[in-house]
Amino acid sequence: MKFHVRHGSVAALAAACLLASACSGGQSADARGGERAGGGAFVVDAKGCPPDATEALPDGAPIKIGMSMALSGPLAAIGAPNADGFKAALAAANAGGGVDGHKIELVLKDDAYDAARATANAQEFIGKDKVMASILAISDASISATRPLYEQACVPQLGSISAHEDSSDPVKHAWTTVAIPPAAAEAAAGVKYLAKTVPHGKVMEFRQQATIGEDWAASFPRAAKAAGLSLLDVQTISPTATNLDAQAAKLTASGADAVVGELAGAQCIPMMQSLAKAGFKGVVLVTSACNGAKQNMMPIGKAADGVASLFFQKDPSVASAKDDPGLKQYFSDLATYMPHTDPTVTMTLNGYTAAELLIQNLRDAAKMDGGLTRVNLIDAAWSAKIRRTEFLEPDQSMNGDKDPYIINYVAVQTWDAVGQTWKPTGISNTWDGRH
Amino acid sequence: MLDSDVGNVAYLLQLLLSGLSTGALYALFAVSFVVVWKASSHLNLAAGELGSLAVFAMASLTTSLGFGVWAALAVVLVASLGGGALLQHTLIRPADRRGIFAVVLTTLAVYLVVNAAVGLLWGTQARQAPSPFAGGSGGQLVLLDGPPRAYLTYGDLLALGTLAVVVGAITIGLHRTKLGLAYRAVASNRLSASLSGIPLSRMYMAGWAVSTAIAAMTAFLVGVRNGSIDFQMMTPMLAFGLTAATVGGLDSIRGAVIAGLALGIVVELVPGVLTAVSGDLGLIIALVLVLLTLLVRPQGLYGTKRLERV
Amino acid sequence: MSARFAVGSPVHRAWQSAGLVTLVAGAVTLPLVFDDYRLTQLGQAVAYAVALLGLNVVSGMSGQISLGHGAMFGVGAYTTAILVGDHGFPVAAAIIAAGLLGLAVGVVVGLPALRLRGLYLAIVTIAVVTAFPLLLVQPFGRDLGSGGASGKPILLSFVKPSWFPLDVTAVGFRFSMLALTAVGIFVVTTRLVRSRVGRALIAVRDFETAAVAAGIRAAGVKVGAFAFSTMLGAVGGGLFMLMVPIVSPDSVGFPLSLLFITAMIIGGEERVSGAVVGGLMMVYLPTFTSDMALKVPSLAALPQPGLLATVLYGVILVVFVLFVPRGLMPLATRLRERVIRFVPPGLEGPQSGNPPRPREPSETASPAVRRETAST
Repeated sequence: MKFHVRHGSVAALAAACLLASACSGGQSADARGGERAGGGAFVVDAKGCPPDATEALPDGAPIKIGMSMALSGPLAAIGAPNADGFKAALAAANAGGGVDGHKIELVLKDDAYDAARATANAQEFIGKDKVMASILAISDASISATRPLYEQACVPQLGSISAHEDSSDPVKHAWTTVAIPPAAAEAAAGVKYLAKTVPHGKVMEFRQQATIGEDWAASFPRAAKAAGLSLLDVQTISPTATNLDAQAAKLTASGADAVVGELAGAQCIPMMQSLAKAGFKGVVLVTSACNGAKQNMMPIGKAADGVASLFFQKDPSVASAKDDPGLKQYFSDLATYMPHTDPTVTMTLNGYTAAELLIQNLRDAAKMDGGLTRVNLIDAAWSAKIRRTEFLEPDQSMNGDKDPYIINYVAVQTWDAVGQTWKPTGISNTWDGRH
Repeated sequence: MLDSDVGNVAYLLQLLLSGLSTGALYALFAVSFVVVWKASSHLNLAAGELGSLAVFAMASLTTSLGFGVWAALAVVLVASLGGGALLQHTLIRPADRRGIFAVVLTTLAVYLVVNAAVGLLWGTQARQAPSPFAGGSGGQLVLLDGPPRAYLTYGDLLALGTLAVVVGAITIGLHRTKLGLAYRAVASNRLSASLSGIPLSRMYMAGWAVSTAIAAMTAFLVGVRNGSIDFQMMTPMLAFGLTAATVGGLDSIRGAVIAGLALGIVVELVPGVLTAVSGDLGLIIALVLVLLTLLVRPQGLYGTKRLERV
Repeated sequence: MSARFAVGSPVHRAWQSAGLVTLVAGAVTLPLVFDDYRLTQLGQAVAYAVALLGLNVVSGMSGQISLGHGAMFGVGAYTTAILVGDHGFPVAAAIIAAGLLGLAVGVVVGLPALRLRGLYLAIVTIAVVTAFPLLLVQPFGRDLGSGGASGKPILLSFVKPSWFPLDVTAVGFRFSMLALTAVGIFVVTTRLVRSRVGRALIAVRDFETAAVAAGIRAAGVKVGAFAFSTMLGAVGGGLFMLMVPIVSPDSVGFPLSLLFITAMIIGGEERVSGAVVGGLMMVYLPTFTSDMALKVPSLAALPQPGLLATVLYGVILVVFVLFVPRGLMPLATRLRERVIRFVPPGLEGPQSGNPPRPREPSETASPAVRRETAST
């Protein structure tokens, strides 16, 4: 009995401790921002940073870059190609002598698209591996989980893959940059296309219940209404749905002029398939997540003919890509350094171009006063200027809060099922870079 | 709260037809669960993944080795029969000595291994589904021109036809052959069947073999319907197939068929007719149906009422 | 020849207390030794262990199998994040509320499924865990504050309160709180399992008909055990939020359930201590296997090396089911028994002549029997 009481009291004590600790809950972590000194370049506020954030990397020491990637789990289809493309670009840079005498070393960890593992990985990058930066965080959940850690340690979190409007916010979250345009930039280009092809038409949205659908929900309806389009009832789609027949029936029954597929990955093909079966004759627009021709258009033949998609990067999977001078270096680096990787996968190119930007950031930082430090790296990232020929608009730049996205140019192209290629529509939009 | 198009006959008919053809896939998958459950009260959770393994193998046969679609299908169906029997013999039988839960866990392990192996061997990108029809599910039979168009694709007709053939073959097999008689004996009473000299283990092997082949057929038809296949293709089917099997009664082929078709129709029709239910609620509808069935009629629609309630 | 002491003897009590003291001391002192990333991993393992303890109760002790634990973990994590973030609850109150909600969900799901013998609970829980992530992204879920597909962040302070005497980081402090709570939960559950309630559970598992004849309401006992397990699942999820600042629909579905099941089998489903081993495994095995897959060149050249971890998972699961069905912890007990043994009163002391040997627990003996003869 005595024993029993003692055990009970331990439990009570633990509960009391937890209760007491709870008083400290509910406050938000202090986020570090940045500012612009008298019209000059955007500078990240590094006052509270640990001292090693401003210590230059010793001569000859490798530049460690941490990547926590979905190599297994539900998004393995995205993770591995990104990592491979990134590795190919690093290997090419290292073969050319690296950056300022430093080799770049990738510390790759699997997070299985799980924010819990991404958090532990981030702590390992910061605490044990002492990385110079982390790169290519691919889920909004992982980004919001790890962002406070990187902010506290003053480690740049570069090239995140998020189309969420708040993901690139140099004032609130100065240590996180984003590699792709926000959904609002894509939506703006899409709305331009619809306003031209179906002026004042009725538009229906197929919205996947996932981050991509949420991001579009935040921007597309507003832009569409402003352009004079009328919006029909949104059709929601489960992330595990395998056909969109019911939604397609609703679409054709409603007499819609156009449909927008706010969906990604596994649902691009089912959507186009269902639309073709339902005999939908109107305009079909899908996001850039569906613009890999080999994965999403070619498998379904005629059903994909005329589908419009949004582009900022060239599609490496069309036959003409091999002859595109802008992609020549990419194909050659992949063939040399990652011969087992399929270079026609859009995500491989994505990882490759993320590495190009990172290498440019590192080179810029090495030239700054104080040399290759983490603080210089993040400042260099916010003021990046780069020419990347794999994009439709190769000349790209960032400028802190005035232009927080490296990619602002989005164009619309339509699929030609006979010629097996994308045809430009002449419609594009350059995002003004502000929320 | 009725949808604005609820008076549109073509709309309702199209939802019904679409539900029917999805339901045929649920039903077929449910039959693969029932075939195993009937004799051994086991649940083969790996069936779907074995099916996607088969359909990926089929894709390789057609694209790399020049097989025709039907020849490739015949090859993988035979291989699935063998694979199912082998699985039962090598893993399930030893696990069975430790009880039904050990068997479920073993099938979960197979689920994990096969799912990942497909991703490792064929990559995780979607690829074109092997299909006898051009452009995935092929041409279509238009019943009403709409709008919306009410139709069944050749792929849908193939699925419904396959369901009829499989169920017919199983019924004839069970009632007209010696093996079928023995199987039914095992299903109705294991102990007395074994005492009258029926080799239980061979019966179980036969059950797993047939179940795996039906799962392979299901995966093939899912590919035809979707137009593409990827390594997660059968994951969403698991809950629907299990729901159909449970609602129909886990030991009833007829129940699996009726419940599968009905589930398909409910999942398409309810969100299409009621505005309060959005189009992505299929799995939640399935969950509610399972819970209701177990509460109201635990043996399912057509199941044998031999479950002991305690 | 190992030393033998009676269950309940001073030595036995000292042994038990020493274990407890070690755990409590570890909870408090580990943050002094380890970095934040180690503590985060350990803390995640401890939170998983609490949830696994629930799974042990339902599987090991009542003979049912639940594949819905991923969803229960999610119920707890979401409840905690929403109550703390949107409604200003203190963390502890939020976790307690999460536990109660988990209990309620367990009753609702368990009642229909557990009146029947067999695999019905497995089927129902698969349906639950596949539907749960979908609920979170529905308007209904969003109205409750689920945050939709991008997940629900929880904003805990990153500073340690001033009253805490030890020089640890904020993560270290949260780890200590988490670990102490977990120790408390383990102690209470252990007492419960060894009480009349636990014996009823085991009786129902092993001899359901006889148990019913003896006046045990089997369905009630099973539903109770399941609801207790879902409660612990939810509490584990709530505690997890002390270590991970966000929960999202992707992380609380069927794959998490599969991880839980594998971990349970590896740790050993009948032992309370198996949950700890399982929790550690859930954190370290995926990390270890994917790191290994990335380091071996021939494996890293595969198109998706990360998936090897999943293959290994499946292989481990089947090996344990077939060859080590009781998991790792009973093996550890057997090792310990080479040194020290606890036996029922009357059998202790050095053996001489032809002593009445305590019966070796057979493979089929229930844990209750094992505990009487040869357990802690």
